[in-house]
Amino acid sequence: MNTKKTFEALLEDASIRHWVYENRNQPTHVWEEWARVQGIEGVYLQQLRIFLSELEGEPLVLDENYIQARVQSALQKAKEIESIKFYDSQIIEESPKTFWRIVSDYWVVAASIMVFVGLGYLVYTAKQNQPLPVVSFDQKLNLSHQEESFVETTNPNKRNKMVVLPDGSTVILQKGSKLKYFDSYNTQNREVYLSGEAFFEVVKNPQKPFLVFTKDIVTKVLGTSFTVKAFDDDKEVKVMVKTGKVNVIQQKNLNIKDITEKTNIGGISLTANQQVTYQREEHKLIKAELNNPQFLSLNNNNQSFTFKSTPISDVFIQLSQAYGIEIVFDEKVMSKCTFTATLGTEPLDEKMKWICAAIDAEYQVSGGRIFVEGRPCR
Amino acid sequence: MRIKEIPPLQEQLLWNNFRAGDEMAFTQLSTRYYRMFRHYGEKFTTNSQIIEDAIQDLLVNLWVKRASLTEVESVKFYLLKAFRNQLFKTLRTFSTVPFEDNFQENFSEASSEMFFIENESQQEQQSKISYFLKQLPDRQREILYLRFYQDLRVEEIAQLLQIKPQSVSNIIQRALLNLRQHWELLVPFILLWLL
Repeated sequence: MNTKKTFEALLEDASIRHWVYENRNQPTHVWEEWARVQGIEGVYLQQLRIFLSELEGEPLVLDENYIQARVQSALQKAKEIESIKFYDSQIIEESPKTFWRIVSDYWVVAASIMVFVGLGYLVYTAKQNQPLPVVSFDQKLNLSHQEESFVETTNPNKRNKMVVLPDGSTVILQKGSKLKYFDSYNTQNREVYLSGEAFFEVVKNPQKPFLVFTKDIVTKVLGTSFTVKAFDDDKEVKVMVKTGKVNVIQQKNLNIKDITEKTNIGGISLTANQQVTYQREEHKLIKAELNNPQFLSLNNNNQSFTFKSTPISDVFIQLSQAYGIEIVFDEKVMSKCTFTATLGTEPLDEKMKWICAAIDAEYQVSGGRIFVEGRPCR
Repeated sequence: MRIKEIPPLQEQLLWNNFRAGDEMAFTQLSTRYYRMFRHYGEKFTTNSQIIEDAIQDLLVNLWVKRASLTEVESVKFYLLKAFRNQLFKTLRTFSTVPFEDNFQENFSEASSEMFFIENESQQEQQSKISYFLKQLPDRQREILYLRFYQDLRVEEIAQLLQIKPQSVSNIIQRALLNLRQHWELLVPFILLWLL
């Protein structure tokens, strides 16, 4: 009796294996009959049956409805991710990760700005065939520039969007707003173009002034936090300062040379809890004290947060509520993680870096949302 | 779970439709292979949550990356391989201790109930085979599983485990030789049973 050849030959035969698996629960006589018809020794068939069953191991009981539900849930999740990516690629070109340069050496005070600029960019009046000697704000914001690439973010949603600039400065872009910056950002100075409303947290760097261009006015920052509100359809444009010093000037009065050469570009200077209103019809800048300043939901003066062994989910919830930015993380995985520190005026990007370093997590901004990938803590 | 054979052309069609963004094709493929993922996964860990997470991540990634997927010779092999990679990735993030990709002994505990037991000698054979499989090294056991349960070709197993096809063949041969020695001890029982 050549046990080896026969058993192994049967085992190698895929069609026989299939039959064995299909019929493993049939009674003996079915097996004997099949063995007879196939001309297989019953002994080997029995060996095969036992061997293959052992190879299979425990039977798996999974409800068909369960599988269907799980597949649908995966598809749903995938589409969600996709819609963000699609949106990014269509409207936004997020600043790539490599841009995230850590400039912590520079900054002493972070600046936050809120800028409200008009929605007029939606009505695009093309003037492509009229080259102007000086590139206007409208052109900077609305034309696609052949000679220089740029990053543009639009937020049509109710929820705020987070944009991290190449130097780590953070912009919280609000509903119906558009922000654009060019590759030359952070070379001589840091220029951003805004239409709508945004809250800026600017990394301090006296060598490279931070300038927010809106339709009518320019806001210059060295190291402060402020808000600018300038919707095209509104009669007024507002700049509100949260911390530090801000300089506001009408665009037509701006001398390009002054941007880098002078600390003061003229116009009006503002300090903490002051605001300036620009009356569009009268072309006037009016300065006033802010009685009850509202900067997002950051209700204290220096947007500081104190955490003491705070569960990480609470940390994220607090930040998320304060900035109006969605933070996506796996609560289960990081359920045992806590965070202890006081976070001050640093931009949200910097805050997230501190937190993630403490809990050995990573984070990235996609579609204006923050995604945290963490590990379980002990 | 073993996958019911479907005509290769039909499977290729499903795969291609899925790559082109057909949700129905994706759903069909995923549903078809779901049990296979779970079954294979359970050979590595008893934590079904980890396996479920790995399957979710795999399916999400497949859909998101569908456009960059290419034609494949065997859909089943592609998915099995992708799942294995995802599972190890998931296991690594879950476990605090470094994870070794051991093909564990999670089989045969319930095997005595799982199929029709005719008599005692059969039960005895079964426990001996169960023992035989248990004492095999993890890798050998996984190879036998992939070859004879999942019907993978030797070349596919080699690619999956990143070893030479010749090594796969050798391991199978050695394991079966070993098994035969076990069988020889068992033959008298089997003959008794047949009589």
